[in-house]
Amino acid sequence: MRQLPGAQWSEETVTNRLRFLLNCAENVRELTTLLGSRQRETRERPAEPRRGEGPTDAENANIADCFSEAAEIAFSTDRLEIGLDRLRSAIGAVDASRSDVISLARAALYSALVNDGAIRISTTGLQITLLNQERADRPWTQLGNMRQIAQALPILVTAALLRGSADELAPILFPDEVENDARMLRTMLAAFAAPEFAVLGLFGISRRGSRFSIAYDNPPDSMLGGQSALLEMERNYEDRIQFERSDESHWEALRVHGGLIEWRLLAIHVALVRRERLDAINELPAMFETSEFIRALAREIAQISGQARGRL
Amino acid sequence: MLIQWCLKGISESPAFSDPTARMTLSAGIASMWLISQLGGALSSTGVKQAQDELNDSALDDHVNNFSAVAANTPYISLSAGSVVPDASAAGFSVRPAWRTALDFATRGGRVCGFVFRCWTIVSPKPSASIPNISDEVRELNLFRQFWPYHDEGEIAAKLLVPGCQIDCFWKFDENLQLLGSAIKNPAFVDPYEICNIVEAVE
Repeated sequence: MRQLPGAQWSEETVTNRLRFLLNCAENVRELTTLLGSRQRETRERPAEPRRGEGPTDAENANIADCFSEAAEIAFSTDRLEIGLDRLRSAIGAVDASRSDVISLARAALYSALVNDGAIRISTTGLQITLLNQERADRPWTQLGNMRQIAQALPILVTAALLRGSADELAPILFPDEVENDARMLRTMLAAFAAPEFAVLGLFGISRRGSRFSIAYDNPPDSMLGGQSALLEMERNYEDRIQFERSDESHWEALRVHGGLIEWRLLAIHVALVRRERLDAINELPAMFETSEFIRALAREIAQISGQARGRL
Repeated sequence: MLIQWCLKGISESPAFSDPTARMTLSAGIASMWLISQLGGALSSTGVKQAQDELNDSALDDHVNNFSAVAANTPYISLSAGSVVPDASAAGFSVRPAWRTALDFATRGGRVCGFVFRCWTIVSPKPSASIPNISDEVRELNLFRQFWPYHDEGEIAAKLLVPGCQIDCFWKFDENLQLLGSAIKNPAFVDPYEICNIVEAVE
């Protein structure tokens, strides 16, 4: 039995919440048309279903949010298969050919967690395949501004970490020519502040200046930096869950404010299992029950998501 | 001042059924204080008493300590949606008003419920004690003490949302399926009538 600490919700509460989120996701288009601003903009005409149109980007983002929230509840309550299924549904709501970089990064992370799809990061842009979609080649210039890309890069790197091998990852991520591209260099330097980049030390990837290099001998400095960053992420996760639990009425109704799963932390732990790097954290005791939970969940996901699928 | 469109979700119960929902279109959406103390309608003798209930502390309780004051709060939680920073995956998430309203209307998909669409006047400054002006408690620049509930996108109306500001309501089942069609309010006053777009004299 693997449950998030404090997840003592009744079967009925969990089932109802999962069904509510599923109903929201499956009816986003109708509910947005009916209750959203669209009707007011055309209030002289009664709202009609939009025929022949797909969901808008905003509606797709809503669908993905509902499914990912459902996945969080499922993972927190020992419903692994349902969680993975909801994650696949969340990915399905994202169109790799036109989504913004943050939505794309989230979908790439979910996709890597369920061990599907493919991602390649370069100085010019992203190559990404989500589930059974066609491969999308998205240049950075189309994906967003520097700030958005800097926010998305740590997530994209973690997704790539889950889906590739270390020795192919680093040269692809940060080739030498980035130093000649001032805009990209600034973006990457901003992104390097994220803990995900320090965590790369646990995977034998160390940083020198703006470059990353492969260090098979695991230099102690980068290993220590990686361990510290990971523990800090686990502490932040603990704080977040403690905060959620402090609001008893919302917690009991499963109406949490900020989410039950720290996706980036979970992804790093899954990557440690998949890349057989558990020795890097074996000496790190789980400081909190939430750390034990997320580590155990990662082991199960790594086990059940099995063989990798998808290629660029 | 802004005119803000909002949604209000109310679950079906013995105390709030189809006839009550229809009656709300004319009587307005009353706060729990108004219902418990004055039977849901402001009387000439109750106006001062009602006004005295509105203050910073009462608004704080309404948001931060709702379970303690739920049966007696003079404020009315309306949903206008929110954009929420996403701690887990960077960027932000959008929490649409309809989702919050339906969540409360159906008690998270457990019962049938009603969603009312209404408008209210919102002040760009805190105004907890002023009736008829709603507080945008979702706005962190104004109400940073309410940040834990930012995701609910709340607008706090006071005492009563008048019937003439309610456009219509819908009824949904526990699976979020629409039951029937929208029930329009014949006495609804379009906020365009009071907005600051003024026609030329003809």
